Amino acid sequence: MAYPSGNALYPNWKVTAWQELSSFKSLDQSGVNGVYCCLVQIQAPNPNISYTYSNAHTFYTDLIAPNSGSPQSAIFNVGGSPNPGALQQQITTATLNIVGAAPVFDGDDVTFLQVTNIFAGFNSVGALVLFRMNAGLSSTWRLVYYCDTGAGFPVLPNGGNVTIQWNAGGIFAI
Amino acid sequence: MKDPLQQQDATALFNEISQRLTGTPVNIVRDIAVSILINAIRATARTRSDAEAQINEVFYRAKSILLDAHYDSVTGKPRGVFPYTQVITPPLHVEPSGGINPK
Repeated sequence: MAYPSGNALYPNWKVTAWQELSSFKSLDQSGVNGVYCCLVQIQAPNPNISYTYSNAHTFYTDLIAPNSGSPQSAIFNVGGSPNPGALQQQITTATLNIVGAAPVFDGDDVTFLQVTNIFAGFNSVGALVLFRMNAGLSSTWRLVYYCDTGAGFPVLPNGGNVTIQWNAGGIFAI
Repeated sequence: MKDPLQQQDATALFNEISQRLTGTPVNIVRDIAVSILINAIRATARTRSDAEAQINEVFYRAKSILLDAHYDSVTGKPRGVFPYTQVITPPLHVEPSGGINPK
């Protein structure tokens, strides 16, 4: 299998498997503790409103754009404005399988309803991010997987739905 | 912008024709569309000047919709006008072994 060049698991999530005390790291929970997906803007003409991946990013609140000295979220919501948490869809029926020797995470396709771009400059979905949510603050939601490579990127929101159709083989494997 | 086909079940008819034409080469689809347009004008225009006025109006509106609504005047790139579903199909990501992140 080829390695998609731009997709990556966040290293700080991987390392939690070695840490006894790291909480909210598992991917086999449901409801508020499930794995969720959000859409983010990258590579906008104005870099101040774009998210840039970093190996150092750990939590949901790292999904920000610089925005000229006043950081804002780079996540799309229903209205296209950067309102954290407003546009996130759960990966339902999350499954953890062993395929060959590799653990594979998989789940149902997700659909974001009526994605628009009314916020100035917020006009292109360039990536999606999976994170492990919990009932606490978004600053404790662990980033798991960053994906900006795949057919369909970038999406220019038009008020219609955006569907993420995962590969038949799964979402990611370690 | 309001979808110009949102009248008298025109959308349903448009979708039906579009489905029927799926897989047809673009140049043939274009020829069919123009032929339908010509027939429609021919059926209603009683004189040559009437026909000319009608086709001028249709193409003026078509050009406005195509260029003003469907393409961004600054970037020149196509843009979504009427809501429709878009699909992203990420590949299965296999994290490289050895602990070296591809980013």
